[in-house]
Amino acid sequence: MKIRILIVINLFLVFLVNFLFAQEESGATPLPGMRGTPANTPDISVIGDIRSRFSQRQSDPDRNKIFVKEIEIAMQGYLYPEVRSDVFFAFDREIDGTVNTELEEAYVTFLKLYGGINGKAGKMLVDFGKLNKLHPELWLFVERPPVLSGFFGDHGLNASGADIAYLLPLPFFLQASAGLWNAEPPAAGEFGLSGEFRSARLWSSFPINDTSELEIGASGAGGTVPDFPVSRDDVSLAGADITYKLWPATYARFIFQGEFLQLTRQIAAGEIKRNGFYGYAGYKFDRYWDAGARYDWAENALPLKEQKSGVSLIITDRLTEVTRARLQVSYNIESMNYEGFLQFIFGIGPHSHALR
Amino acid sequence: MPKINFLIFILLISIAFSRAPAADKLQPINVVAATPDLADLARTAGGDKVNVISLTKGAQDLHSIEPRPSMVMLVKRADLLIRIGMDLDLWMQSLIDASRNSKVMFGGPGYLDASANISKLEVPAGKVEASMGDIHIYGNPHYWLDPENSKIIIEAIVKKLCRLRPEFCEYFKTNQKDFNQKLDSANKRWKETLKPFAGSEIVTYHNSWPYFAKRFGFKLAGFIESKPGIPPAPAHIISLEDTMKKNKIKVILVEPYLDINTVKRIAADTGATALVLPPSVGAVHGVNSYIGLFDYNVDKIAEILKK
Repeated sequence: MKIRILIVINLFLVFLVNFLFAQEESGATPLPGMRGTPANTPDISVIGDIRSRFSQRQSDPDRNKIFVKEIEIAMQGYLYPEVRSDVFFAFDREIDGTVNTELEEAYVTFLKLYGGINGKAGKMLVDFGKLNKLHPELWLFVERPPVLSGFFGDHGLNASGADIAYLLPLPFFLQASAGLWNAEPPAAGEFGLSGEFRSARLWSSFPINDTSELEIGASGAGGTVPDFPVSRDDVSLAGADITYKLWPATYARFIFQGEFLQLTRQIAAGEIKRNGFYGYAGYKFDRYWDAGARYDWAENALPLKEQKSGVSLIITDRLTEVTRARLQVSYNIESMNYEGFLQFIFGIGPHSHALR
Repeated sequence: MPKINFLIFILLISIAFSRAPAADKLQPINVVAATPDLADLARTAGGDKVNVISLTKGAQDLHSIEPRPSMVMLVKRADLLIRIGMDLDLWMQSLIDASRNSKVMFGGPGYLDASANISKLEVPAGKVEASMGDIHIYGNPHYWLDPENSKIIIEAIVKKLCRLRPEFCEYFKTNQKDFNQKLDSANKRWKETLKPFAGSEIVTYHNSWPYFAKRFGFKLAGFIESKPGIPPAPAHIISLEDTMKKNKIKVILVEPYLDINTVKRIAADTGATALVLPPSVGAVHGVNSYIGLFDYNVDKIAEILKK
């Protein structure tokens, strides 16, 4: 209780101190989330993901159907010039057709704490690797790579807690972040961290020249997973990621992105290690079209080892910054099955995300 | 969750009492500008008291800049950040947010939206939505293409520089005065050159040139894009070509990064000339300053319209 009172007092001090130093910016374009009516409403936006799935597997319940995979409603705004909040609700369709309503993310970002530190508190996608923090509408492909769904679950590594990120005082971009979390148990049949866990990430980026940039990252997480019916297993995750981007012309871009993850799990019978990775290469030809390919290889996180690997080819037509149509054809090497997706992502309203 | 509560408590204590350290008065002012045009004006105003970097190049489309982590470091070190504003540089916000530099956050002493005092054209009335194309809700943001607006921009820059380094304020104001005199003299030259063509109708690919057209007396007869940011539909091209033939429109302006092939086809069908014009400093070889941008553009348009 005392801690909560101190937090409230500090919040008051934050606003008071910053108010005393803030400058009026009359005539300037309001920031996203500060442009509301006199009622000062947040930026409200809707992102929809409509899909159709074509599969050789007769048992696939979504085979040859069109369905709404997810509707995301975002409310975003600045609480103060250095403090913003982001809230995302999601209506998400599971593979069995049920639609779950969830609070996908709801967090406050303190954009500047002491020195090069910023912090976030709330419920959010954990800063692990490159793809986990990205919302699906920002992905360059339809589905989460098997290594991430296998180790994090179908909704990614998502938990409540806080993290801080420190931009090191170096001549190049190097950010270190660390977080303490508490996750809900995973859905039945899924694998994922639950209860208290920790995460850390190092993310660096170097401009190679004016037209290309290389990002590298290393991530770690440690916690437990429920091992039904009675025990919990210690789990640690380590990841490495790399992203290379080249912009050869105004609208053109080549991207290579890859992540490798290793999971170590202490089960009753001993220790198991599982690995997985994906690699994506894509080229954006102009303002509207891009094409790419992804290779996946992943072991599962269960005591009985299984492996999945496959290749996907993807082509995307971007109608606007957020609205796009996509065709993906994937081949699963183990089952020797093809499946295809048609995806239409649409956006209404001013949707924004932090630098990722 | 006592551990997390304690962590949050420590962080918030830090926020309450952290402020940016005072700038080192011996070092030049680090200025980061959204565009090369703003960078050139900042360099002109600041002289040898500023280090200026532009986050973009003249040949880039400001609507589709991809922010990079390396840009965060430039913003982190900035004493003054100059934005275009009017939602043309939304990509900058993620860089500012990631920079942890409170000087250049909205409301900070080093935050400047160059559009703040501009008289804006084409401010939409009523509801704005995506069916209208990529409409900027605060008006047409290509305001730097009216040379008279550069006086407003440079005044705002000088005001900020004077706040950051009051001991050099007279120096900045002298630079501003020199620039205004050079601009007035150049403006006379440009107006003389384009006077014979006042009232001429022109077509542009994207609606980037209303400020330029208004200043120099041109009429915008149409755009290649069906709606802002939307590629031209065949029916729209046919209608535009009819208008161009009927009104004997001689020139189509297109930025270097846009679809020149469509423009050339329309020009060939209508007897007009496709004229690639730089919208920014550095977009074409040899255009290295703000005044130089207009020297180039005015001469090129006059050359075509004389024919």
